[in-house]
Amino acid sequence: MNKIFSKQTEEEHKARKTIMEVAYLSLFVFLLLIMILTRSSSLASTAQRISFIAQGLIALAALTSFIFSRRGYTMVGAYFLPYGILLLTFVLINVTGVGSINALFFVTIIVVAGVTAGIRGVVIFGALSIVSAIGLYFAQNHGWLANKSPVSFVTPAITIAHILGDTFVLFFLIRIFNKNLISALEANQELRQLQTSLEQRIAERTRDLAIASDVSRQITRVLDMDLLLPELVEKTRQGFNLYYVALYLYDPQTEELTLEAGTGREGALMKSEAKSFPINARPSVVAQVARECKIEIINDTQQSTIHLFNPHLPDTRAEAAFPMLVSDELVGVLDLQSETVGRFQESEAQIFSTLAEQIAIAVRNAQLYRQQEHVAQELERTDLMKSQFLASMSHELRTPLNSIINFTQLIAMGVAGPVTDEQLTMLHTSLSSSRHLLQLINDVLDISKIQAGKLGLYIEEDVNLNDEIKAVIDMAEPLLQKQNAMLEQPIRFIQDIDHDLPLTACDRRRIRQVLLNLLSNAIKFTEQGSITLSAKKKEKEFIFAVMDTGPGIPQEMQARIFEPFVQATDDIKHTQGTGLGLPISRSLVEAHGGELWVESKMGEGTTFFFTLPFRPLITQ
Amino acid sequence: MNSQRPILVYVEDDENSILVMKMVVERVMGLPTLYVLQSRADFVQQVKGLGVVPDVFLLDIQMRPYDGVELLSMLRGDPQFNKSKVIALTASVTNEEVSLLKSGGFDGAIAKPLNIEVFPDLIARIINGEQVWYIA
Repeated sequence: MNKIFSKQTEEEHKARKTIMEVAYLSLFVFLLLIMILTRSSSLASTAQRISFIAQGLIALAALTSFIFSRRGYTMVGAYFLPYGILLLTFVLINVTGVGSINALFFVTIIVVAGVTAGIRGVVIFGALSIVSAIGLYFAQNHGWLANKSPVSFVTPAITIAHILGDTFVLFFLIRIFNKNLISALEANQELRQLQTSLEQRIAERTRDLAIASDVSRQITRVLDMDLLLPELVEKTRQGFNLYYVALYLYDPQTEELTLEAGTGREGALMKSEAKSFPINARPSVVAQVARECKIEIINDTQQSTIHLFNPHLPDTRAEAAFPMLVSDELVGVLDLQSETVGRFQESEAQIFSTLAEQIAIAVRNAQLYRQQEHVAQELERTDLMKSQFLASMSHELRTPLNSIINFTQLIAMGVAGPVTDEQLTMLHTSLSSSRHLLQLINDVLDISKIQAGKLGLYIEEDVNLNDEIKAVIDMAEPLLQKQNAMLEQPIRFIQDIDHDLPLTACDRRRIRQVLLNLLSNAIKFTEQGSITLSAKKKEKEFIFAVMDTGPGIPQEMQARIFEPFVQATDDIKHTQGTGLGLPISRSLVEAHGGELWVESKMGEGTTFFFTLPFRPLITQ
Repeated sequence: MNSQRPILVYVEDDENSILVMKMVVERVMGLPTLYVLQSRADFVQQVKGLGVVPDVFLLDIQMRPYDGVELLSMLRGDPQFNKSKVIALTASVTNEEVSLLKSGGFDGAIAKPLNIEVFPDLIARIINGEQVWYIA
């Protein structure tokens, strides 16, 4: 009973409200339709008119109930309908007399009250009906009601019996209905609680993952370990609401673990104490994890034999340590400590494990970066020394060599007295060797400038390429004659050159250098057939080609010949050269915005092509 | 100006280079003398001390304490040498250097080592007023 009269719960209230409102409105609409239909037939007899009024009253009560319920006054609304029917009963009795009081009227009231206002309504309107039935009986028998003859007590007695019986039946029916409703609502609530807690857990996990990924993101950005690690442990501590987080790095050479970063003042203090300890230290959670490369979770440190009490961290109650591995290689250990017993659960361990992995990769990256940085600095220093060395070599080596060349030249010219033919030959050999040496020095300087990215072009406007080609041919001619002197069948030199190449902007000395290099290579390697030099203008560029009928360059060497110090052949006779000519030439052409490439077939010959963009004016 | 027997002045700090130039000028070209001066602050005084106005100055570029470019600006400060040709002699002809020499006011440049066979002709062309950039 207590439950029945207790205040309805929110859920009950809402469920009932919806049902009621639908019922109120349906009843209203239903009665309205009945009234319209009745009106259209006839309202001839008094009973018909009374019935019509009664229907109107109930319809009005239903509408009022609906409106009150919508406004939030559910209970007020619930009582209006039974009251409406009660009123109807009185109207009917006034017309027909108590004798016709049918129990059905009152039962209708109680049913409606039970449905709309619940058990309370059944009880209230049951009682009201009995009182009304008795009141009406006395009223009629005392002649208070007009035109009505007295009735025997049996009539109201039957009515009251009906009312009582129906009230009890309804009472229990509604009780059962209420119980079912409540249990259904309870089940619903339980479900909802479960859902809420699930949602909470998902939110927690999402937050954990967000923190982990935040930390990970941090990791990939910072490559400097000194900056990275302190921030990392602090973020982890805050994000997962831990007591202390530390990161130990493992040195495989000394087999020692060193505290690299720890949170808070404790961390800084312990780091300053340079806490290093061997991997076989016992008892130590961190050392054990490092040894076994397996996660260790201690959810109650006071019960643990491997947890070592740390006076700096008196409040630790749970500890979890995760190995930091990069491809099965130990980088270090991530150590987490909490003030709460049972803090580290299986579900979270996976996240920490992943985090440890990520940190491991970051630390490895940072270590590699540090190494690289060191190497880079070393290289930079070496590079500077190299440049300085080359600059001084350029002057110091060439000055005496210039004297050698010039004195040899003077002697060969007979300036210092008569020279025999044999001496002259020797002097010329000496001279050509010296010039070769000078070329070597110049090539080495060029390639080092190219490699240092310091090769600048001296671009002149209106360069006449035909003039430059002619100059190159003049320089190559003696080489060809020398080569031909040793051959039975001289090599033919074919020129396929457009004679009106337009003026263009370029570094003419460098273009000459490239052409001469390609021509002298062709002469050097060709022993029969011909060498063709072609120069054409095609659309917006010039195309140069030097074609020979030499032995050809094997496919696998065609890329390598553009690398410094590589030559296609080991043949001593042909190796006279620096092996730098092609890489230099390619760089010079590329510096002009052109391309240099080779096409060759073994036994047929080789063609070197290069392009030079046509630049009628220097772009300012 | 004496185009048959031009007066040449050479400023250089390397002994061997001086010797080469002396042989080229005095024996190959057959001129009476090559005046050799030193890279010093009193360079213009030294030139005036010669008692003649040189036709061609041959200035080494890589010298100490004053390099060829600095000596040129000393010369250009004196109108007495307006008509003299000033030629740079340089062993390392980089692209930057060529443009520097051109913009610096040299009348030409000759690369080292000297090409002795063409050198007399180069001097003749310079004296005739041609700009000579014999650098490659």
